[in-house]
Amino acid sequence: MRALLALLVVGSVAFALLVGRAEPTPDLSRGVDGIAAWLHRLTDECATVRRDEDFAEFAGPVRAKVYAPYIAEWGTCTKEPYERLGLLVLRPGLEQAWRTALAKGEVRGDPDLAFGDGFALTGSEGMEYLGLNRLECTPTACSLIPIKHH
Amino acid sequence: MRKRLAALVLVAATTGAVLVHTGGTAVAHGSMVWPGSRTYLCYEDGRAGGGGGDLNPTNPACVAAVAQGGKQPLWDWFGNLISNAAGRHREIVPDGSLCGPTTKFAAYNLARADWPATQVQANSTVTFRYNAWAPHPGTWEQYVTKDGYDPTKPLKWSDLESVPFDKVTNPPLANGEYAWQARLPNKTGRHIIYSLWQRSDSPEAFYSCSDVVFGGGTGTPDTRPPSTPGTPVASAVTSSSVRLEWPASTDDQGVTSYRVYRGDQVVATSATNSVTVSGLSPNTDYSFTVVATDAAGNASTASPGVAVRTTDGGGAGGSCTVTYARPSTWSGGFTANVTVSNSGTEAIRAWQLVWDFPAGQQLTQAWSSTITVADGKATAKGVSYNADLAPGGTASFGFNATTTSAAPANPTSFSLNGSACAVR
Repeated sequence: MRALLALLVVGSVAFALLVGRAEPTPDLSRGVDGIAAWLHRLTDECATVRRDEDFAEFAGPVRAKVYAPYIAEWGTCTKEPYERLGLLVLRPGLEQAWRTALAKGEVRGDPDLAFGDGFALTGSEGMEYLGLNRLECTPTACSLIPIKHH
Repeated sequence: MRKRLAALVLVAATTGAVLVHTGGTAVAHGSMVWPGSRTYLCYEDGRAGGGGGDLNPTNPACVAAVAQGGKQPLWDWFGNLISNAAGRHREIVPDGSLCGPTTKFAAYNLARADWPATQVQANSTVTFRYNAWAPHPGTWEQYVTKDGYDPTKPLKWSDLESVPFDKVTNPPLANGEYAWQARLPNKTGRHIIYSLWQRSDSPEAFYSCSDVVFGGGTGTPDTRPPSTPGTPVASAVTSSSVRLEWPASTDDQGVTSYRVYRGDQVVATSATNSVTVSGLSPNTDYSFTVVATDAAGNASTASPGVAVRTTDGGGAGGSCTVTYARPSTWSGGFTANVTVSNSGTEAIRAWQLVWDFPAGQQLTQAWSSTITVADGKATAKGVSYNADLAPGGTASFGFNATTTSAAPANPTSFSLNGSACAVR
């Protein structure tokens, strides 16, 4: 019985460590499918990717103007609480574009994305468990801040 | 023995997984659901208009907000927040941005008097309900706008009474909602209840504007939908339009509008129990149903349907022309630009363009329309800003596709809302 309990504890801890290592490492060579597969692996959600939406219709013209030139590919999937969570494969330059738009008064505050390496998600809730970061920006500089769990 | 061991490991792993996922939900997100915030009520309005699978609000303010800010703020209606507010609300949220302090939610600052509103009764004790995904400590402050508040002017901090009429810390959470009782202030007419939720375990804060109308309500949440409208009766049927009239619904707080559906698409709205639906195609069968809504956004069940066949009008209505071009083709893919024109004399609402989409092609990206591919057909629908085609009006959209064909052929026929189009 004691051995059984020990095995249960060891198994739980090992699995938790394995799953809890939410490194932002989707296979971006597979584009949006790579992000979805990574997210599905970590959360058991995001099983189906939708690609039939217009990004400007999703994000509105103001944010689409800033973001769209730096999005190589995008789609959405369902991951609670998000019925449509955006999965974005990024090109370099989004940070500079946001700062420029900030300086022109076209946007306010920080980009509303959770950033990984070469990709981003459009949500905020739950992102701290995925090893993602957010950008805090002024017109002259942005800082990458790990999203923390409180 | 080996099976038992495997089962044990599976149990252990499952336990671990449950532990991990339980931790993953311990984050706060939320918005006022009674009285409903702008984002919540527009989301509900959009769901009603979107047939469940999409968001197509019909309230004019919600429509304007989607045109400005896109649909994502409605999908994320519970996420109107500033991550690092830390109680500095008046310092970091400028006048005019109280209802949507970030770019994502800025459209919900639109100074309009037609946002969805909740009827409430002054001086009554009510139960505030606030959506949440997990318990988190924090304090909610509820402010109300001062007497003389003008909803057509941008909301300023000085428009709010200087002290909150209600304040609560760590209210009870049940069934995904915080709920607490509060006494409403003594006001009349249209106002905003402005809710600030500052978490105490994080600098994150949430902002929520609930449009309310004091007077005429019961002071308790209106969750009762109107009665089901009666069966519509069709008259004045032409090649492109039909007049529908139906027995009115009743509601304890009053019916505010009716939506006429064709399938899951809203094709007309009316404040009365009749409307003329236009933009139809000749010699075509249609079925319409009607849904009634009240001021709180409650929607009735759909009425029984009425079947209508439009007359043969010699093509006076529903005529269309399509231009299809491929400005770019590469090995394994192409870009297509499509322009659809209404060459008829009646507006075409909620247009849908259908054409053959060969099996070797796969849609990868679309813009200025929503395109779905099924059973060898592509169906393009207009988006918020080009969903209707006025007489003489056009809508342009495009898409990228992969193809297994070395020389993909252009489609040769298109139909718009079931009616064949000329192709140029």
